[in-house]
Amino acid sequence: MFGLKPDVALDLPTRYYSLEGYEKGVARWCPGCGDHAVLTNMQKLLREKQLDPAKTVFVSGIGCSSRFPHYMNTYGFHGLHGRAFPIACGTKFRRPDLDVFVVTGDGDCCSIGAGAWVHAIRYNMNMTVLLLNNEIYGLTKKQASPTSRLGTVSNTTPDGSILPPINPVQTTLGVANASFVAQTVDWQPGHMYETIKAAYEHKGFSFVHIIQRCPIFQSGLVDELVSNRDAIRYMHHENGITVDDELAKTYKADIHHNPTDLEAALALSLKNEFIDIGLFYQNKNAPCYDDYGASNIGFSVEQKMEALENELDKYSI
Amino acid sequence: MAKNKATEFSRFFKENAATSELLDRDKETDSTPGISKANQLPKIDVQKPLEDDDLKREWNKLRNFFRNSNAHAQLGNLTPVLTSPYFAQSQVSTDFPLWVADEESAGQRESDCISLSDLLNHCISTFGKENEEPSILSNNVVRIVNIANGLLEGNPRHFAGAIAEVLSQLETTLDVTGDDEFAFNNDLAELRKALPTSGVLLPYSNMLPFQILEASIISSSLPARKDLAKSITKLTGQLNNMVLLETSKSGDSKNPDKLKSSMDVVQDRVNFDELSTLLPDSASQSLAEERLTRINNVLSTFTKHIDTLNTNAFIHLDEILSKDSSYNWKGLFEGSSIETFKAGKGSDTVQQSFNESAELLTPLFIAKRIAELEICDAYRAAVHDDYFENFDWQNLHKDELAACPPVIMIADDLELLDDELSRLSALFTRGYPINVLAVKRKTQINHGDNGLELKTNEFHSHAELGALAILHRNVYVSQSTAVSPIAMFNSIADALPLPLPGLHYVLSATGLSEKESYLWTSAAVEGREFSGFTYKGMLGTPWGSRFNILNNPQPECEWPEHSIDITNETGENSTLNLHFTFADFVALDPHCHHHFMPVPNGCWTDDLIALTSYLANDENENIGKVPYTWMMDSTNTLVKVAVSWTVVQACFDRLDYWKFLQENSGINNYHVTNALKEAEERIQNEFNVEISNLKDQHASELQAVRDEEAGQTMEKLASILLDLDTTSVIATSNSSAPTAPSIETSEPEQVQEEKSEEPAQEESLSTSEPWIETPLCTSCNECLDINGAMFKYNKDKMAYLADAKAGTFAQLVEAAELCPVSIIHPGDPLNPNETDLDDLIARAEKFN
Repeated sequence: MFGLKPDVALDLPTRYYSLEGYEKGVARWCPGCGDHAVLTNMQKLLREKQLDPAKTVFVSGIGCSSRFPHYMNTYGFHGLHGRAFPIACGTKFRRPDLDVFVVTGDGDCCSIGAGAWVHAIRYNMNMTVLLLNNEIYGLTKKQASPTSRLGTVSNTTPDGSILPPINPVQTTLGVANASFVAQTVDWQPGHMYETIKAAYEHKGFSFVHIIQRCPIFQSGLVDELVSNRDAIRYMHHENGITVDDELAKTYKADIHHNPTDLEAALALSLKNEFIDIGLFYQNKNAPCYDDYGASNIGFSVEQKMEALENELDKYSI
Repeated sequence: MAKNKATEFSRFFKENAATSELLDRDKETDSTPGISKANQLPKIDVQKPLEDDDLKREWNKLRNFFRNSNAHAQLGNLTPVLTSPYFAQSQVSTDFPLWVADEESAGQRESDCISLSDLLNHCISTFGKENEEPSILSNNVVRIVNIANGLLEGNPRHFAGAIAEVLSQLETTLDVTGDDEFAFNNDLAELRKALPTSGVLLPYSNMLPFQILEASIISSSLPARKDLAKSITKLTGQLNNMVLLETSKSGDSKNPDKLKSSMDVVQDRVNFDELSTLLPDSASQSLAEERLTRINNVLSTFTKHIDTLNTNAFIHLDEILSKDSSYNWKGLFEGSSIETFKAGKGSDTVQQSFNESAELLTPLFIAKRIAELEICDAYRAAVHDDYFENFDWQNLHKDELAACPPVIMIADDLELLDDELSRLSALFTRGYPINVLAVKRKTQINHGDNGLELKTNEFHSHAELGALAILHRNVYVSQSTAVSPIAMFNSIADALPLPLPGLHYVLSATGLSEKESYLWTSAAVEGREFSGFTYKGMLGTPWGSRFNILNNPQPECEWPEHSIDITNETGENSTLNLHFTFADFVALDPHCHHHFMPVPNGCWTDDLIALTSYLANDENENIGKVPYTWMMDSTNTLVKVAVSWTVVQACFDRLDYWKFLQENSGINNYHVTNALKEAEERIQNEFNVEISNLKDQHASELQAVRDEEAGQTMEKLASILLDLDTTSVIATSNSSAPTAPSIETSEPEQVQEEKSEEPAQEESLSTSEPWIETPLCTSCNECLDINGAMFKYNKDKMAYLADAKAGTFAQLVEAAELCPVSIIHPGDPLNPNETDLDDLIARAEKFN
């Protein structure tokens, strides 16, 4: 309008950050580990969005993938086992101005941290969550995790695991107030990038399940997954995650799925014939708990003390 | 301790507390409407119905206001909704700063006036490769423009110095390090090379129309004038040679002293007296005396008049403008002659000035033409003497006229419309190629003597200088504002060299800050108060082709229409379509606020109708109605504001002039619309007739077939009943069934065959050269650990084969084996002398 040109320039960042601006140290994961791909894609996302490292925080628990914050040149919190979510939620609650990312593994999230996981989904605070699921405890040298497939032989299950694995997508979809659930694989960097980008752009708890290789303790599974390109099925929809046409052509199977349909998403998550990659479910209007968390930001220490005194005065005799 | 409810903990956890607190903080930083509330949509409050009596009282008040306006009405902080983006002007991008050519660079580039962002994008595109991802530089063009705007601080600067500072500031700001640094520095160096080395960078300012005029003068006539001066210098040289040659033919040249002076090296050894007697008389023919005289006359005219070409333009300023201390005329038009004229004397002065300059320049062109004829010895006295005798400026070729310094009058529009009008009209009628820059300095709304009183009639039917000039038919008329500077430049620079009178009507917002001035000027264009157009009065061309009104917001509409997202009274998100009308423009002027009255939302009945509907309705439909326009307050709440009858009349007037411009340029033309309607009706009628004919024909054919079928069926039935033979009926119904499916079965086979060919082709291509599927790389470092020279990461940290010869085939094979996603294809060995090749080739095979 008003003869203004449409390229309205808002809020230019103060400086330009290149990929190296987000790199820190040399990643100490095993050669060939899928974590490397996630790390690079995450750094690329930060570069595209030109996020200020001083306003970005990566939170993790314990495990191979939880070493992630060490390799990002941003703020980071390598937390307690299973406690990535409470730390991240606390951070977001009091500092809504920060971009919060959670990197967690199948043990950290689905085992010891499962309780916190469920509530974090329900809180639906605005953060991006990457579950790097390699279906094994790698850091402690091969013990079955809750997501290990039936019959996985490990140090704790020498005769093969006997319980069916947790399906993280299904579990997340089953919790009240889930707002963004997507799945991708680490050996498809193009798709993974678009997925974590969509997750970042979603306002709320954006949960990305990344099926990931462990070339040391799950090498058989790796070969099977990576070499079989037919195993992947590309979920497409105008509101879903789209990759460029060249990449899309390489997927032999695809399925049209509307990400606003929760029942269809649940049904799809239960089917195991393909690895479905893309957006299972998104609800842009789910309430976010962090919207209520920052009410007293900006209050001085004196004001807080005064309020505390007032509160205590109620109990004085 | 005193109880303070405001800071009890319980309050912190109240629902919505967060949002309201955060918004409160936003408000503290900026209370102007429209900004810093990106996440809060403009809203309409829930309506509070009024009791019947109250409603009646309010409406009486409203109707009274509508007819008489109300000197006590207050708009407060209400502003027209669509102006709100302007309150954050730092966040919007415009055509500024502008690059315009100076004397050094005029005519050297495609355009002599271009916005800095277009200039940068153009330069970047000259060295950027096609299909490449945008570089850091191209992503930061907006930032460069912002830095430049900050640096200029409202004053023009020479381009070279300014852009050097801007680019070094960009380097500091972006602080690009790492892999991108090299490419970025490279791009910057290329950009510096591609950018012009001279010119001027102009920011938006109230001076802009005059700066654009200066740039247009330089761009349109300076290159031609330079060429003219050059050719005159060349002709002078040639003519001087002719004169010199003639002198050498005379007997005087054999004088011993002359000979001595021309041969200084061998002076001692030559007897010049002897030599003088030995030399023969000139063999060639001498120039006729009259030719020599003519040549000498030409040379003296050149010497006498060539200085006239050193003036850029002859500018005549009206007294009112020349006394206005906000303009620095000498600084604005450095190379031009500037003179002031008294009120009412403008047209006479410029005509006289034109005659004077014609007196100086016409002999120059006559001399040039004679010189050219003399050099070719083509001057024929019988023909040319008469021709040049009666030669005046009207005989000049249009290219010659274009090289003359233009004669320009700059005057206040009110002055031109007053005493000057008849003389100006006479000037245009005579067809003198004089250009007039008419400056509208104030809003068209006259404030009355004491600044506040506004009589009903003062708003409407003001004389339109542009329209008056158009009616002379042979005048180049343009109307433009500083918010579309490139259109302004193009029309003025286009008009100056033409052998036509020109009138350029511009809007200059003096007395306002730059931000206000930009808003006000834009609103004047958007509200159809001062629409941009050009009328190119070339006689003989079709009338409609002379008009162009495309440089207006939504030229096809009566009023520009925009839609905004809002939260409506029921709390739902919806879209509101808004028109920006002349009334919105008027509302920006605090002196006119008494023509607007906010209407309490309890009174929003059906009698309150949108201003655009009011303007579009029949008179009868508007009885009892009051028009409103939407405005917004500082809390982003939308309010209906009633508009007074005076402003409505003014809107009618503005719309009328806008429709005049529209129709002339072929938009919504009355005759065309009627003709279209007639044609449509005619076609529809013909169509209806044809349809009804066809229907009749069809009905009669149907009836015939039915009759025939009924007869046949009856006959068959009769024969069946008589013969009891049923086979004939069954046989006819099954006759053509079995042949169809054969087509379906044949196609899939063909497709399968085609598909099976494709992989075979791919395989035949895949061997020999080593390669990597870079887009599938998972950045695991494996290959780089084996050989960091052979494998490298691109800027997205994905591996590519940098140099296959930087390592051995063994390393390639090893990398292929280690690559967790098997995207390395080693191909055939490049070095046939490598050891264990057979084994390596066998190992490589499964990756190729």
